[in-house]
Amino acid sequence: MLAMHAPDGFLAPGVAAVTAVISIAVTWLSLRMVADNLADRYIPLAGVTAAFVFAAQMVNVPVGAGTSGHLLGGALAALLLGPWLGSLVVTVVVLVQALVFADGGVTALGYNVLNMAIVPAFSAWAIFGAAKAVFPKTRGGVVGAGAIAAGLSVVLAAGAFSVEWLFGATAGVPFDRLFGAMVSVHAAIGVVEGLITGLVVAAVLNARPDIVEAARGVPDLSTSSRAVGMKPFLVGAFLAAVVLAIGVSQFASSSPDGLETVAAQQGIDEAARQHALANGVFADYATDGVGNETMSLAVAGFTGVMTTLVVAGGMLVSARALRQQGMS
Amino acid sequence: MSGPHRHLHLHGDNPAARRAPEAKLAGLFLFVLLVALTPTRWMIPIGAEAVIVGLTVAAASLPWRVVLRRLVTITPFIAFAFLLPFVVSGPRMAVGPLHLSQTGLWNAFGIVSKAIIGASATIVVASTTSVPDVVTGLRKLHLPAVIVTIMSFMWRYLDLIAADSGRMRQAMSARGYQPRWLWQARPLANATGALFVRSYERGERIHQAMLARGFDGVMPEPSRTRPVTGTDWAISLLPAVGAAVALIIGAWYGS
Amino acid sequence: MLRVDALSYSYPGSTAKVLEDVSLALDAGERVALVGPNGSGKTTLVLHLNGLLGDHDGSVQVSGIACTKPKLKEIRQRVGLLFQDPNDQLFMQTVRDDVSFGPANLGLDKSEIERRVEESLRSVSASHLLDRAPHHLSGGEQRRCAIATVLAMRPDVLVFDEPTAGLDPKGCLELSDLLNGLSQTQLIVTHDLPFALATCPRTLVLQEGSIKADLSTRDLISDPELLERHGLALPFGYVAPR
Repeated sequence: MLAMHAPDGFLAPGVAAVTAVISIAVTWLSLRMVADNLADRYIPLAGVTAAFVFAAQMVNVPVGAGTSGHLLGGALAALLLGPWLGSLVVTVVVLVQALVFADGGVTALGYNVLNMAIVPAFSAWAIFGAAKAVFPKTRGGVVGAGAIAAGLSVVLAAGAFSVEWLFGATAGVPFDRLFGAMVSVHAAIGVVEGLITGLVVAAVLNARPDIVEAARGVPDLSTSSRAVGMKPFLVGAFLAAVVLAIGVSQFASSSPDGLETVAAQQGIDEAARQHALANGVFADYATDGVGNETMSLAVAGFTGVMTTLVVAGGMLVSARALRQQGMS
Repeated sequence: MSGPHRHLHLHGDNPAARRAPEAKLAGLFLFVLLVALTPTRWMIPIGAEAVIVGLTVAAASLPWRVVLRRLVTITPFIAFAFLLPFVVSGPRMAVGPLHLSQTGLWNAFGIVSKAIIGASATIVVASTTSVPDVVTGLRKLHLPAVIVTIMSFMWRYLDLIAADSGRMRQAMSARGYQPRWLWQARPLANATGALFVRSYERGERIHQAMLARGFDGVMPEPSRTRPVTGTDWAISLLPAVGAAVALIIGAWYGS
Repeated sequence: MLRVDALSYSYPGSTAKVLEDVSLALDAGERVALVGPNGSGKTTLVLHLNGLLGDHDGSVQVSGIACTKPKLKEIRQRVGLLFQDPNDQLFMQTVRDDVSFGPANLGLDKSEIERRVEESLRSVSASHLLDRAPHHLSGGEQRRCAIATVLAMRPDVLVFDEPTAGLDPKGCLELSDLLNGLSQTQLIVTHDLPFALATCPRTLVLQEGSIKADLSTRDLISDPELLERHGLALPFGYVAPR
């Protein structure tokens, strides 16, 4: 679902407005950061790499048994260009897709930009930073940390969408069910994204290690160093995705019977309350029909806080690093 | 334009294609905003909005087949909507052999109708406006100049980079590379990495070419822009005005 | 007119010298070819003529003005650089916007910009391409429009990097005629020796980062042993005119 561009009216207007404000603010900040650090060089660079991201999303990646997926590219752009320029580049891609290809709603740009550009780019950067600290300071370490960051960034973006749904649901699908489905599906998508992102970063490191932002300051970029092979990575990542999916679906189906009873109770005043919430700017479906309300809100809160912290962490880490570079 | 990223613009002369892009984009945004704000159960305004979009499709002389084909981008969400009558809780109603959730049906109707109306309206504008005009329009609507410039660079080099990517894939299939499983993806990723390096280096060369012609950080205004007229605004805002009137009528009748 | 003295350069982070003690001088109105095998440093030298690479040893002078940071803007106006791939040089949405990019950066007023656009497109016989999108032009058309973008700056010196790359034989002939008709001093980097002969009376040979020979193009082409020694070769089946 997230891999697609949500159409107009998919989330309630209030969420569209709030996410638009956040996206505009972050984009403004990104413009400031790249202008400070790259001077005017970033203008053609961003344009051409936006075209690259667009073209890279067109490449069909085989997944198996005749199915295929494609790169989302938010994490890749951040790893190659740094989170600020990366987020900016993918934002432009999402904008062009909406206005020129009618792919994604014009009034949905707030959440589409947030979920496809900002959250993936900055969360990938934060996770990459954390993973890099554990991995060896080699080319293999950069590639492995990048792959993990790219995979998890997709799951985090799915979580972000679920939290937006909590506030802006346009259908009576409760948060816990949507969250369960989104995270499970995106754990699988994340495996593909992580693998491809890691391999692309490795390929760029072979040709031009000097332009990969994620490899800045890494002493050993020789091709011989390898943190993990592709097969072990794939096996490990799939196992992690399965564990994540099972864990999350346990939560979502924690009380299926409860769901039914609440549904029955709810039917009574359904007609009455429908009119009231139809006019609301924020929908409150998500707390309707939830099996375990306290638990759901806790998970939603945790997801929201986590995503925000990781994204903000990515911003702070890279901003500090850029400032130090500027001083040295 | 060739390749999978065929864009929507069709050459042709019609009342929609003749309007200045900034008016069209503003009209589109206002109209879609009103559509997004329309409550799901207000049948009169939703019906009116659908009729308005139908009329603009006709005015732009867009074949219906073309519009339908381009609505393909919203199909995953239509599929999601089709599940809703089965999964949403609440009182059920019998539709043939099925027992469907009434709320779910309304939810599905809301998502599908807004997605189709919004996407169709965007398709009308995208089909009648060339991409450089879209960029000019956004500039006139005071989108930050840097974003607009990045968009125009992206558009300028998209064909070139997509063609590059296509040639690489051709070269790979010519040597018998037909991947079926994820662990065979390394050559694809290598090609994508090479594509990035080429794109990045092109970006650097363009920057040098810009500096060589005296670029100092500020893009000059494009020399030729077409003036926007009152007629442009009047016609472009007509759909939004229609939607607003429909919403007021809807509110009056209490849906 | 154009003078390079003892120019040495290595890319940042590398110790290998790409250019070593390069000196050359072009008189006003002269057309000189710069030939050399791949990787001999030709493109690097070209970029230095516009101060695009930063720190280096030695000096570059144009009409007596040294190419230093405070004079960069003036140097870039006086030396018009033609990049190898016209797609790098035609980066705007229309030919008109591309040709006016330089004059607009010079701060000229609208009517003067328009006059220069018209005049420079006319001088490369490309007036009819004014409102076309650069990415929809043929290779030859792109090349001519790229030259127009540089002519609109009214430079004293033109520097071409592989101008025949991607052109068919007829396109090369037309380009040679066009360059012969321009009055500016020209330095033409190429490995197309017949093109050099048709366009430039004098040739410099760059090899391994330094100038190895400075002679008449005819002498170079008719001396197989000399060509061999500098890693150069004539196209298959080409017989040097006597």
